Amino acid sequence: MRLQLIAALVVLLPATGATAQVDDRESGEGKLDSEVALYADDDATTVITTLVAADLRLPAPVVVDAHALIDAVSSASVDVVSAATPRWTENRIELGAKAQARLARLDLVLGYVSSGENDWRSHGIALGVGKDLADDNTTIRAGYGYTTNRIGRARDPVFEKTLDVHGAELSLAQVIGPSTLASLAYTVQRSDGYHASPYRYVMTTGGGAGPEVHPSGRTRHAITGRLLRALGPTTTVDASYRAYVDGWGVSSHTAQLALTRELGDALDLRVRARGYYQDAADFYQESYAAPMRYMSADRELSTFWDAGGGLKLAWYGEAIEIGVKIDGSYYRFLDFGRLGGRVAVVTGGGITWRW
Amino acid sequence: MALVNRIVVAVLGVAAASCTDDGLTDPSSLPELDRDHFRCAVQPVLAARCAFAGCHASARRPLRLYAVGRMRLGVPWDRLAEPLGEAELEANFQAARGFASADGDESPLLLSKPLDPLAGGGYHRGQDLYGDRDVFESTDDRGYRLVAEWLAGASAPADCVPTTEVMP
Repeated sequence: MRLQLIAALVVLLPATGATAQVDDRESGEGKLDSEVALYADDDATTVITTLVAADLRLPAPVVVDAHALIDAVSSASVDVVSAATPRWTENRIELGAKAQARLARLDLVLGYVSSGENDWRSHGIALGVGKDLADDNTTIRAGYGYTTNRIGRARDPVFEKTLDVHGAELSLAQVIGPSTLASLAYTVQRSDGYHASPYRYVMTTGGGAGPEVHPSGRTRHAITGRLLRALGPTTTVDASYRAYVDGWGVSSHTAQLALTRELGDALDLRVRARGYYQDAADFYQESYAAPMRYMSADRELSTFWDAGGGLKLAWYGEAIEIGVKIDGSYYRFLDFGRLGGRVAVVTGGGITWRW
Repeated sequence: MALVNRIVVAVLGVAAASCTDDGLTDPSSLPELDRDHFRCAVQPVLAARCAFAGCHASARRPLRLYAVGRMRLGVPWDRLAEPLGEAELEANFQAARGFASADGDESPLLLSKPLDPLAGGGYHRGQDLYGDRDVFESTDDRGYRLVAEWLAGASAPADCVPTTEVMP
């Protein structure tokens, strides 16, 4: 059961940085990352995420990496309880691999991700290409991703749906001065298939009820602007804003501000704040007076905002990096009667070994 | 936020402004079904097979059903044995109708969910909770056929008498 997204979003591989990954590393260089994170909220949901990832620079100008991730989810959230279902637990396992290459002055990325849990299996591929222009002060990148999802229903041998997602991104990054980098990215995504949840039902005030029904197609557009600027020799600010609209009538705004400061030769502190506001989908209603063509009980389609922030402390040794972080968020649902708000905390740590 | 949203739509341009789908707020196209056939053929099946306190005679269930002697709508506890009123029958009709739509060539949930998986049905938690047998063990079950006939468009006269042939 996907907690946050009905649709498995296309993972557009981060083409940004591909050049640094390939050009700045010697053949044989690599790293091994391991991270553990705990998500907990006051809606009776916990997720423990364990990640192991590794990459290696090959003799050719190619960096390959692979990762394995396990989400151990336990939930008795209001969505679960209101469907008269007891607490459930499950594991989601994700495996992925990616290759980044520098070829004919182009940065190329090719990746594959597979994810599986008891009622959902997905496979995704992503391609990316980038080129530096104007003495490397300008970079343009394009990416495409495709994910195919097979959706089931726990313990139900009959229920089987599909969801196919295509996504593309075009971005432009520009060095503005010796200490400033700005970027702008446009993302479009089209998904077709089953977008609802087989576990959610909608009841009308007139006594009717039925399974949640969402449109079979969804087109999303987003523009993201980002500005990175060094404020002196030890401090960097990273500000971004994202505007989003889709064919279901959802529009949203996301603003984020992060400040990173060097606390010494080997210690960094990052302070981050984030805010989000979303208008509901056109067909979403807190309660339906009569059955409608499309009906949803998904709070992710309601009107809501969230705000949060966090701290991250990272220590850089010669071959070892250690990081710890804690983030907190408050979610406020403005037209979702079963849950007015939610407080969530994510804390975790990781260690990286470089050679 | 309305002004900000307009700005966002303007910024995202023609692609965004023209992409909102049509028909998102249309009324439901649930099938038209016969109320008298429901009252005489389907309600007895639902009352006998589904409307128990731990099952669907509960306001917690999306398919919530009123039945004599069990969950009632505005009926005092000392009159639970009285026949269902119009409002209760209408609520049951609407609840059942909500599960009457089929997606493609699939069976409506009202038929597929209570049908035993060995007979082609889907997962039904009631089978776990109350024994190995599901509500309908096969498509030959009398109750299954009564519900199927209603979903197929069968009608009954207004003076029909509720059936008592509802058990397997």
